[in-house]
Amino acid sequence: MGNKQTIFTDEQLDAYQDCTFFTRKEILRLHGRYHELAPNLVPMDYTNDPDVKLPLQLIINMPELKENPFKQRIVEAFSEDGQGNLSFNDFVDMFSVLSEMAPRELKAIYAFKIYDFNTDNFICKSDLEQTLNKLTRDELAAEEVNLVCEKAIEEADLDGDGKLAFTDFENMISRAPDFLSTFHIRI
Amino acid sequence: MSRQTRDGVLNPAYHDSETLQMGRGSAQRPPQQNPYGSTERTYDEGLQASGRQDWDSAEHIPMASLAGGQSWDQQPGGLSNAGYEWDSASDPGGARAGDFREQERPRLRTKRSSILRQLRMRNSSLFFRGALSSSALGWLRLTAEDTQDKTAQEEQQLIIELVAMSFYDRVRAIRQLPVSLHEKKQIRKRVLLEKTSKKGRINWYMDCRDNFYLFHRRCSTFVTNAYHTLQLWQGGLKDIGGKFGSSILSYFLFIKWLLMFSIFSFLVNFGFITVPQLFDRDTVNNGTFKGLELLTGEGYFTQSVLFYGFYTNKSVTGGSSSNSTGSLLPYDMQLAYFFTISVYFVLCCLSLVYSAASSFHKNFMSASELSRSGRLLFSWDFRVSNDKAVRSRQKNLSTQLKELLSEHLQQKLCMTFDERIKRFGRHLLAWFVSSGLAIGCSAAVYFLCLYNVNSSPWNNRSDLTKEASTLLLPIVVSLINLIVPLLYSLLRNIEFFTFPRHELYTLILRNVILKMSIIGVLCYYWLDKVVNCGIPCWETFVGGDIYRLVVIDFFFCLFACFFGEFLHKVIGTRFFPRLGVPEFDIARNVLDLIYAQTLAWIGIYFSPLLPLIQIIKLFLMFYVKKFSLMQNCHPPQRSWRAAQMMTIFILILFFPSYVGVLITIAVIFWRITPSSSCGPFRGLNVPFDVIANWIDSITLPGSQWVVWIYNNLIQSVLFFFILTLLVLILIYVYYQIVVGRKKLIAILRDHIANEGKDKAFLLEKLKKLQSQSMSSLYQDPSLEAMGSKQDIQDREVRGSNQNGTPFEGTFPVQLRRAPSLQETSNRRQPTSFSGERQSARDAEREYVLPNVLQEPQQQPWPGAPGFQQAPPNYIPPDYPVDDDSSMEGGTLPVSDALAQALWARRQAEDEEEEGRY
Repeated sequence: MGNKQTIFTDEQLDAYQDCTFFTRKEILRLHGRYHELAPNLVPMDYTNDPDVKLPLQLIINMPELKENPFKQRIVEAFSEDGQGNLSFNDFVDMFSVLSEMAPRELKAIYAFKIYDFNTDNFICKSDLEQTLNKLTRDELAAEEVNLVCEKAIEEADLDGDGKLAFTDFENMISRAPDFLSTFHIRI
Repeated sequence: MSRQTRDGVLNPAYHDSETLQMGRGSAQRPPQQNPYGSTERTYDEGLQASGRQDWDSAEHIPMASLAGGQSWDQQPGGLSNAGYEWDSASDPGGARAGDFREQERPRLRTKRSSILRQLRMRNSSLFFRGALSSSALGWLRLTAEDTQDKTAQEEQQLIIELVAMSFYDRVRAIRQLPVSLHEKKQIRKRVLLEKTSKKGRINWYMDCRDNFYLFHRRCSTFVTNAYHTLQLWQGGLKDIGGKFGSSILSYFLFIKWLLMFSIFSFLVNFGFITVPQLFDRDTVNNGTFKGLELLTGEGYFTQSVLFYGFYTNKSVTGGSSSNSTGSLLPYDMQLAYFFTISVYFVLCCLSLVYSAASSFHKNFMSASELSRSGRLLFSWDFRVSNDKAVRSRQKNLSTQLKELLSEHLQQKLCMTFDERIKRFGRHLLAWFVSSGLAIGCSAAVYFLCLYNVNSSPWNNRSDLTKEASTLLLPIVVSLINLIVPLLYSLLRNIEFFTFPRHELYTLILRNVILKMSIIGVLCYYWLDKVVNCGIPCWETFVGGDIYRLVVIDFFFCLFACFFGEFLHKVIGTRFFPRLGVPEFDIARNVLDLIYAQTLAWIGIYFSPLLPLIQIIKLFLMFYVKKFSLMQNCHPPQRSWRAAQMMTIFILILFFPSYVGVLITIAVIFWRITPSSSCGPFRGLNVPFDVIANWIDSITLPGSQWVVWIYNNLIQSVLFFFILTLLVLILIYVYYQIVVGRKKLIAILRDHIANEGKDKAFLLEKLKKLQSQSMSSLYQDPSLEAMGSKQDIQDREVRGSNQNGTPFEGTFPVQLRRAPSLQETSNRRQPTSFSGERQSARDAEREYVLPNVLQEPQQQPWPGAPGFQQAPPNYIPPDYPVDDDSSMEGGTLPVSDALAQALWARRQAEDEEEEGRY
């Protein structure tokens, strides 16, 4: 592990291992990917926790995210400042939640964040419309979009407030067994 | 009571309709008469009571709403105090946490996971804090410091709990916190600090354990790294997932899973059967290798470790007898063969049951009637990273959504009797054709087998043409397996299904029937005809047959890839564009795999190294299929419920396939006489006699328990009878638990719906009151105070009259609350309630009532002395107070109390401001 030690100290790696679902090697690999995105900005030496943040534009050009219609929302949901700038911590966090090991509950919380476009803690109709437009690349007519959204809310909304709270969302997700395998990005 | 006068109240449907609910809540009834307000806490308490009864883990759940209620209770009636209490009790963080816990309650968890859960819930409240502070906080005029204090407290509590956990639990808990990594690290740091500072007090045992875990992890990094590099096909799987999504990926994961199975069985067989046999120098192979054996498994191979016949029935002592290494313990090949095979099947069974159960648990348990549109909306496959794949996926989704809409808009088509008959006839015809095909194919295979066994003189196998002629049977079987499924899929032209899912299930069912009947016929032929026709070593003969079937099946898979998919693509793209690119048929491919696995399992007895062939086959198949997929195919059009289908496939692999194999092996072990000239069991009546002989020969003094077990358990019918009975009882108990939980879930779901309505109602009311009170501040307070007093008195009188009980002192609520509660909870039940649910509701109420009866004197009520200076005009004037029907029981709903408190608080604030000036 000669040159690996220069990137992170042992304590740092322990902390990362304690806080994410990754092993030592995967964290180093993630650092490599992060470094690759902006070799000039990201130092190889992370032992003193440099305060480096990469802008959204750089992150969403990763091949894993590039074609994802929700790429912007994913990055925003994981950025601590909400603007889409990701520090290395956020970057690791993002792939930790999207990894295979993350439990359904954790995934559901972040999926909810991603689908909640206007960040009002509810998935309301406008969020659903945006989701739908991203999913279908604006192929549906406005009327159809409207109908589908209404139907979705009607089916999933347990407490009848006309929008999906996290509870409603989690309930729906728990009944969609594919969610766990599809909300997953292999890095 | 008012039930007679208000048909709206009597009609339960009215209570379930959302719009009416809202309308009534805001306009038609005065705030005091809201039954939802009064029942709110009783529901909570009822649930909590039942929670205590049913689940130990529910005890840690404090109800935020209850806490709010109790803070009221402590107030004998001071207005300003009430307001103050409301202020502190209605912390939105806590309320939010309450919301989450609410959803938490139904789940049954173990103690440890409940702690984890609680942690997560607590942090969910942190998580949603941000937005609440912008909307709700401002609305309720709560200061930011309040929430910050609360947050700090929560964090402190969290850290204390984390410190108390073991290393492993702590890591798990921290990992699952839904906060950013930075915060997680902070928390972790604080926990570690706390731990080191408290070292003296903390159990040294825990400390040791933590250190051990840490050490263990550091050591195991190396192992896991090695494991990760050993993990097969990581890159390939990522490619497939990126281009075709999870559904097709599941097929390849299935291949990988089967491969692991085969590797395991190969290791077991090789280690315990083949390696000892290789030490035995007495049996030697004197055949010559010609090359065709690879395909036919004949000639040279019949005299090799590949087949049963080669194995010795003696004890292997290791090395030749003259060598000095012969000091090893004798290794009994008979026992080894028997135990290896049986232990392997037991392990297979455990692993299959485990995977089937976990897969079922994950994918089927909670998958009730799914909202299809919702599922489609949140079904995006985040794995997909290829632009073409993304585009085709988007296209598929939009067509599916359009279909959904058209289904939605179309009224449910009512079929006439004629159409029904026609449809039924078509199904019947299709089933007739498919079963006919299956029976015909089985018969053909059977007669071909008979012809084969009668015509082939096994004593003259050296002839090359004779050897090649043995390939006839496997080729025919593979051809059937290739062509008949295609014919089956043509049947969809005459059949019509309402749901595409049914079509798929029918197709799978027919294919399974076909494959299993062919294998069944083959098994019958092997175990009956072959055994009785005097072949010198029939086990090797059968092993050869299975070997050929497996190998030829593999070649047909390759041919199918080439001719089926490649030619289809060439024709589809060059000549007939209408034909299009072939679609990757997951169901057919998976069924092929299951068929091959069944053969491999049966073959294990006859040919212990067959798993090796299977490994090679699966390994190559992965690459061939991947290549063909990447080059020729496009992903399936319909959304494929991959997770659920995988469960079904594992179940198919278990039920007809594995169970069938198990029966076959059991028949061989207990009923069929092994051939007398070859193999480990030669000379025995049935293979199971090995055990009887072994038990008889046990003379070691310490091992009498083995004999006891054999005599009293294995050979006793009573033991198995009791075992079966126990299993049946266990199944019944679990079935009853499942039924009970289903009922509970239905009740809780209903409860959630009602809570939601309550919430909406209360919010509406609060908003209204707020605007009202704001405007009323600018009016003359004395006049309105008079008016409101009048209102209150009016109501008191009316309430007591309607109840038929005299109004007594300060406890009016106590007298009315109980009946009104019963009444409201009765009314809240929709008409569709089944009797069972009704009784469950009744049981729930039994828990509720006593609690409720004790508490009412703590409820503030306008008639109580503390409320003499009730705030003016807290009843919005647009409520028709005089409406007779709106008076029922004179109960004071919680919402009203909330409103009062809110108003009082405002007033106090205003007074303060005035004082300052």
